Order: sequence, then C-alpha cells, then structure tokens
Amino acid sequence: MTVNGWLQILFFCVSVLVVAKPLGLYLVRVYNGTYRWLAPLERVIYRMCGVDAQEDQHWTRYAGAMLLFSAASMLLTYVVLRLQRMLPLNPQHLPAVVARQAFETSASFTTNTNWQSYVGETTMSYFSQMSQLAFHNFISAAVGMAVAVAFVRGIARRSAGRLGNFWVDLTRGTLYILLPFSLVVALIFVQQGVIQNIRPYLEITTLEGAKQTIAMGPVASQEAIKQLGTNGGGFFNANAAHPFENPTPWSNFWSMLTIFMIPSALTYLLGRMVKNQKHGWAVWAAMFVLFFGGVWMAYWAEARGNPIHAARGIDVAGAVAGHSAGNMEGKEVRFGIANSALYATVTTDASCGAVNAMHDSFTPLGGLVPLVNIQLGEVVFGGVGAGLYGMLVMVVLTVFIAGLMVGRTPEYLGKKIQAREVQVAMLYILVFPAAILTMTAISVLLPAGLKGLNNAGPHGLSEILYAFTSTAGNNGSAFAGLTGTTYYYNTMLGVNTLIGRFAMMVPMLALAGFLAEKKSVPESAGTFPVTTPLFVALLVSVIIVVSALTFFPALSLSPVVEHLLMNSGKLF
Amino acid sequence: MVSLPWSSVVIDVAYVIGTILFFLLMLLYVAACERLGRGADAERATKE
Repeated sequence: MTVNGWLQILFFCVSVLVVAKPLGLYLVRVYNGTYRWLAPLERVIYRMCGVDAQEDQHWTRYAGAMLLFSAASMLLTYVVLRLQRMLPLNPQHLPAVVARQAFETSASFTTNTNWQSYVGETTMSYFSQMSQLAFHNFISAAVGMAVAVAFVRGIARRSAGRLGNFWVDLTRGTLYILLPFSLVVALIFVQQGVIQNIRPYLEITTLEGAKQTIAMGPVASQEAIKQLGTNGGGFFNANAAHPFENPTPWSNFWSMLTIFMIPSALTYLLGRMVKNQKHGWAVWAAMFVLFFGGVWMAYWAEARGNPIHAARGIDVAGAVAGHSAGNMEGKEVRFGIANSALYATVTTDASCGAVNAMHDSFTPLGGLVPLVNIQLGEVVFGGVGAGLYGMLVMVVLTVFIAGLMVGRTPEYLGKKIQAREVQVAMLYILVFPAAILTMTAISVLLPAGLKGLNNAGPHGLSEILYAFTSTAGNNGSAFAGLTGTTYYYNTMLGVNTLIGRFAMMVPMLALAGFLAEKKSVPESAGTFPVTTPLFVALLVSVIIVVSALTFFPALSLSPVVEHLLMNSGKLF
Repeated sequence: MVSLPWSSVVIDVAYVIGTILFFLLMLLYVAACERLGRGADAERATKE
C-alpha cells in the first residue's frame, strides 16, 4: 500500500461525502414535485399513458404497477433481441441473439443486474444496445429510486397508508435525474476520450501486417447511465477495463463517483423526508464504515500480492523494489492496484457490476471482498434506490433487536415495529441467501453446473457462488472463469436475477405499506435513538452478523480455504 | 422472410410463458403479503 494510493482513495471518499447534500436536496425537490422544470413534457407523458398523476397508491397497487411495467418491458426486450437481425442500426449484420441469452439478458437488464454472458461488440446491434439495453439502464434505475422513495414515504407519513404514485415517481426519476445527469456525465467521458459514434467497425492493419477489427459505438452515452444507474453492463466485453470505455484515471474517478453519488444523496433524502437529518447522516456513516472496511481489506490483500509468485521469482518488480509489488494480474497498468481495489469495492457495494479489473484474478482475500459486499445485501450505498431500501430493512431489524434487548415494543421514527413488520422484513432478508445458496448447491451437484467451470477446488466453488451471488444481488459483475453461455446457466442465472429483484421488492413494499398505515407515537425516554454512534455500531454489527451467519460456511469453503492453501503453496 | 426452426419457436414460447408465469406468481405474492399483514393484525387484536 502506498501514500499515493491512499490519497486517491481519501479524495474519492471526500467527493462522495460532498455530493450527498446538494444532490440529496435536488432529489427531495424532484420527488416532492417542487422542481418541475419539465412539467409540460411530464403532462404529455401522463396523458399519453393514461396516468392519473394525482392518485396516491396503496402499496399493493404500487407493487402491482411496478411488476406489470417490469414484465412488459422485459418481454419487449426479449422480442427485440430475438428479431435484431431484421431491425435497423445493425451495420455489422449481427444475427438474432440466441433464445437463452435473450431471456437472460432481458431479465438481467430489467432487474438492473446487467449480467452479460455475451460479448457486447459481437452480439448486440446498435439498435439493441440503444433502444433496449440503454432503455433498461434508465428505467430499472428509476424503478429502484421510485421504490426507495416510496419506502421513505411509508416511514415519513402519519397513518396515511399510501406510498405515492409509481408512474409519477418513475417519470420524474427518469426525466429530472437520470436523463440530465447522464448527459453531463457523457460529455465528461467524451472529453476524457471515451468514443461516441454509430460508425461500422474499423478494419486496420497492425504493425506486424495482421488484420484487426476495432469495435466502435455510442459508448460514452451508454457508459454514463451504466454508472449513474448502477447498471454496470459494459458496451464492450472487457467492460471498464477497455480503453474506449475508461481511458484515463480521471474517467475512472468519474465512473466511481457516478456510481456512488445518487446512493449517497439518497441518505440525505431520507433525513430530509423523515424530518430527522441526523438519522440520514447516521445511515450514511454506517454505509461508509462498511465501505471503508472493504476498501482497506481489498487494497491490503492486492498490495500484499501472491507469496508464491515472490517465492518463485515471478514478482520481478517486487524483487527490484525489495518488497512485494503486489498482485497486478488482471489489472490495468493505468489504474494500478489502489484504483482497481477501490473500483472493485465500489462496484460491488453498489449493485453496479462494472469492472476495471478481473475479480477472478484477485488474491483469495481480495476476491472475498467483492463477494462479501454483495452478500451484505448491497446496502453499502448500494444500487440506486435498492441500496437505501435494503439498508432501511436492516435498520428496522436493528431497531427490533434493540427493542428486544431492553424489553420494549420497538419504535422506528415514531412507528411501532410489530409482528407483521418483522415478518415481511425477515421474508426480505431470507429470500436473498435462500436463492444464492440453493442454486449454488444445485449447481455443484449437477454435471451441467460443473461443466462451465475453468478452475477446480475452492476457486471453482468461488466462481459458482459469485455467479449466483452477483445475479441474486442484481450486481452483474462476473468473477470470470465460469462459462455461463449454456442453457443451464443462462436460464438459472436469469431466473435468479428475477427472484433477487422482485421477490425482495414485494415484501419491502409491504413493509413500507404497513409502516405507512401506522399512527406516529411521540418519542419517549425508552425510544432507541437512531442518530447516535451506538446506533451506527449496532446497525453495522447486525448487517455483518446476518451476512456472516448465512454465508460464512460457504465462504469458508471457497475464498477462505483458498487463501490458507495459497499460503501453504497451492494454487487453483 | 426469415423462417425460424420449429425447436427455436418452442424455446421462445417456453421462455415467454415462463416469464409471464413468474410475474403472475409475484402478483400472488403481493396478495399473500397483504393477507399476512391483515392476519397479524387480527391475531394481535384477538390477544389484546
């Protein structure tokens, strides 16, 4: 680890803190309807879609609208991918996407996962990328933000029983937040050298006389919403390690900041909407503690490098310097170890899944960090919206546990937490590990599940576990090493993304609806304060304990045992 | 006109129907969560 590396990490941390308040204020005003500078356009959209913008929806209606919209948009994407050969903007004459990949991709992009089992530049036409994948990049992110805001309304409202209007929240999130911010971020990326065109691919002759095809495309615009909406699906197969997607250290910095800026600002929105700003900052602090722990661990493990390389004289730079030069396998030299470890932590804390280094090539403990980040439920800033509502479910659980400790009916911001709230919160918490662990267990038992493995032993288990963790967590980053282009994996992973998104959103919206129906009770001496360092410590502990209890056995058999074996001289 | 092989159409139909069934199941899940909430309320009222 170097001072230079730490300074870059600290600069990033300060930037995430600085954007929280101004952007959070803007988000509050957008969702409250105070900022409506595109009101005429908004009205046209509502009129065309037959939306009653004044309707205040019960949680069941809000959830129903969200599900129907997601189903319709997913089926549309499936049809377009299957018919892309007949559609315009296909200068390379790419054929239809095969059915299993079309299913997986449409499920993956609808759920904000963006797991990619295809090579973007050789599978997707410009039309598919721009009309479907980019569309989902906006819409799935807007759905996540809408649901998070609905949850916050459920806490803030006093016995109203209504969560707002899904269609209005969806439209405002897209029109006022994602579209304008994406435009600005895309211009920043273009200035940094990210390409933006719809030209046919270039054919060039290399210095050795060989022919090479250079893929082109509208990359900057896709890249902007990919990061801002914590989508993560790369235009190119190499994702943010590709020099046309992420050419400079500054484009790398902006990529990471755009991943975290909305999730960070949403904690400010929470404080403002529930009229308890200190609570918003306490939630931010809990997220930051977990984030910083992850960065430290990943950076330490990667900077330490692989002791077997040093012992065999492969670590040449380290031998010259007199200490390990760290693990540079699978990393871009222009980003180095610090920015690769930071990016891996950011992208898996959020449900982004973009990568600028190959997580499969990280050391076992370095690779453990992205895996654990997702298994924490992606509540560490998290996906746009998804991170906040996941964290709020954890807050409800924390308050409940604190109430049990002192023998009082727990309250959260004046709302009593009773049996039905805890039942749906537990449903939310259990669906996630159940999906991951069940599907991983099935895959290690079936020949079809083992067929795609490129590595044996604990590393192979890590690859399978990571694939199901990433898809259930709607992250989408790949550990690599697992060939996912089979009927088995395309279908299982596609189904897993759907379960990880919707089977968790429904109980979460139910929880919001139940809280919204409750009358607010005044704070008393026995109310557990949700603004103190004690609350932050308890919240962090609950998140770690819940995750450790569910995933520790699986992690022990994969990265942990791999680390121990590496130290005894065995690699996989 | 591009003609798709018979097996390919069957697979397409399977994926589309599977997707529709999943979302129908989610709508039932919404109804089940709502019933869960009402059930817990009724149980509490009986105890009180």
